[in-house]
Amino acid sequence: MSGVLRAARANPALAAALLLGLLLLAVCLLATVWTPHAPGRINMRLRFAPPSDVHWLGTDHFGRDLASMMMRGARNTVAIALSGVLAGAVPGVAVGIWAAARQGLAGRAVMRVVDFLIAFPAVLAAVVVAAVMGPGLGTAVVAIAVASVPVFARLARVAALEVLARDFVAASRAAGRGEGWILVSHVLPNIAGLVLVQAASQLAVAALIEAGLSFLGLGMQPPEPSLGRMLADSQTHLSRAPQLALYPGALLALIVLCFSMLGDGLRDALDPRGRA
Amino acid sequence: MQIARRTMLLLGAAALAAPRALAQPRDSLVVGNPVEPPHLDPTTHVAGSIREVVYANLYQGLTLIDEQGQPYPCLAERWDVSPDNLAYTFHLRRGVTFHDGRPFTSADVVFTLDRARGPQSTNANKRLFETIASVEATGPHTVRVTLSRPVGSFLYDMGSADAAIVSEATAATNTTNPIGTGPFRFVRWVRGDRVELDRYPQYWGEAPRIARVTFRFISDAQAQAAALRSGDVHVFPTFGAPELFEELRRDPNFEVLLGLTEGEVILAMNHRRRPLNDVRVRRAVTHALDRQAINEGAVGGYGRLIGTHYPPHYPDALDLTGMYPHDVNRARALLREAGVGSGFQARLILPPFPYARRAGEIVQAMLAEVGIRATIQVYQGPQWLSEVFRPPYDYDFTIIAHTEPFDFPNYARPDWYIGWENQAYRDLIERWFRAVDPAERSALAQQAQRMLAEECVAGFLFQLPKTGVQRRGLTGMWRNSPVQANDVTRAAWS
Repeated sequence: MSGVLRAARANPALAAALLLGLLLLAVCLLATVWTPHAPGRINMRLRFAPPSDVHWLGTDHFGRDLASMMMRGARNTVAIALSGVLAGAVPGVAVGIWAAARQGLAGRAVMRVVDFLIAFPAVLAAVVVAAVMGPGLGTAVVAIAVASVPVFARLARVAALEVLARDFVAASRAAGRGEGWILVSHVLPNIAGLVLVQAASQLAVAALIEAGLSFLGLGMQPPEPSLGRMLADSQTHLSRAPQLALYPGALLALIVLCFSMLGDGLRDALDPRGRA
Repeated sequence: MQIARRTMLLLGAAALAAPRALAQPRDSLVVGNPVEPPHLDPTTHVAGSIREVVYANLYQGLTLIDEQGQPYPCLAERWDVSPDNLAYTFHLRRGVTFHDGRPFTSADVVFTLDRARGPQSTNANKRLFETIASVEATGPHTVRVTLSRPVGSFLYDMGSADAAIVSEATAATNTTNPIGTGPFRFVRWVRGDRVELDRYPQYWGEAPRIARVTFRFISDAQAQAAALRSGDVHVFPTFGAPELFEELRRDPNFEVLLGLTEGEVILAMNHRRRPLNDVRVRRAVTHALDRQAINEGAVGGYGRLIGTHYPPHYPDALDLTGMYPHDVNRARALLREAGVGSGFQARLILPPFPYARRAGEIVQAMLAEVGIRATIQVYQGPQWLSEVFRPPYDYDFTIIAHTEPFDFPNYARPDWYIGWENQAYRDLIERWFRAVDPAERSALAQQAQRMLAEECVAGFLFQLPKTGVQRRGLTGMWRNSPVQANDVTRAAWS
């Protein structure tokens, strides 16, 4: 942690990303317990209200408070992205390490499957999952996880192979340590940094997948707000109320940018070769 | 940086694809419908999406219904009616052939009507044929139909899509390869995308000006707007995004046609389930609904509010919208009285029509105000029909427009998806069916309207407006929709 702080001081982009990330996180946590108005509350008498001290950003085509919907929508996007990436990273890393330890036919076969999956566009994979499971919160998480597994599997395998070739692994083997112990005690800690960097970048992809699915009506269902659905709903109102698309779009871009910068910054901070 | 690159590529691709030449071939027409039909035989299926493609274009009846809702002679050139109104002798048009080349004769009429009223019939509107006592061919081009009792609407009924004349040779395969006598014949059906029809060269009547008509299926309102603007679709007879009307009206490329339909949009409640079988709960639901707000949000306020199941533009329609007005406190009190004061969980299943999805989101919020926690699920057309509209009737609430003319008797059907058990209403409908005197029919219909409203059999929302948008220069499309159909036989580019 102190290493990250030191790196942040040396790397202003990472510092900015961290600051932005903390701010977004605070908003998301706040949105869980409080929003200025109930986010799904419809009031047809207040359609397209301009910004005021009651409705900070105005209201949408159903008279819902835009600021509240964006806060809750951002919370949902971030929560789904986090859960999805976590749900993809755990099995992905496990498969990758397992395949690295097992150089035989089984390991190679698994990695061919992973290669095939990685060639499959992530959003398309997500749409297939959504078609099978039906729309909803679970679908978005599973879709992101499915899209993330191959990414983490490939990364973990390459990194694990490198670690397994090192001298201290050979020493452990000579000392009679079992394969499982080596994987958990040597390989895992040594690839953790890389996985973290990948996870941050993957979060950016995940946030876009979530927004995409919601945009298509396959993600979070009403009345729970979602940035993607706000964008979809705003389309036919563009000429009258462009802010309905502009604000959620900008917020989504900010979230993606934040995750992306976090990934880049962490890579610079954690990669010993990058530091040179 | 991978993301940024991908985004740029996508943006680039979109920019390249955007401005397409808006060339309009003068003799082809692309019609946009919201829902793809389950199959293409209207005589064995209730789906309106079938009628929106084939009615009058591909299949014809003894009569057909025109834009004013009046029947006119079609395959029957003329008819004689016996003085007791029981026997109809139809003189059939000569020189008519089906699209497979077979000549049309009285045998086809006998087959069609016997099939529709027979014990094996899967016709969605069997009641239209129940009063037929016998059908006999008295010559190759004359048919006598005898009724068991006078039916005031018989010639109208024969013009419905349910009574489309089909040939025995192709009846079994009409679902996928429809063969009719209309001015357009079937070419191909690309599942999930479109149905194509071509002008039938041997058509008996006046040839249509359009040589090829393509029906494309686009349910999403935004996608409809995009298809219209890009020129991919020339006309949406029921356009799903009414908030764009003002803008489209100002656009010299488009024309907006606002009219009436026979579609009552209702919030159906499943009477087979607790607690919706309790009239107090249904009244609470009705009190929870702000119809005007739903009308605005769902169809831009272009619909007309209804308080019962009857088109408000009929002369004998009663305005019952004030019977259970929007009153959240009254709704809560009724729920308490019914023993569900803390509200309940429910499933609101929506068909994919834009009006239903929009109304659904608003209704969900209104139900939440009084403590009814409804979760929304959007089904595709066939799934909605097979799970909600037919057994197992697996839903609590759903939103749908019932587009058939004079369909309020359906509430008397024990096998209907609503599941309302009310003997008094059934007796009333039986009397209405038998009544011939117009004044008596009106009085009975008004009694039925009142009964449906008092019992809050459903949440009656608004009359679906006909919201057509088309490219300027297209003529001959219907402004009103007295039957669910897109009759393109008179369409032309000027």
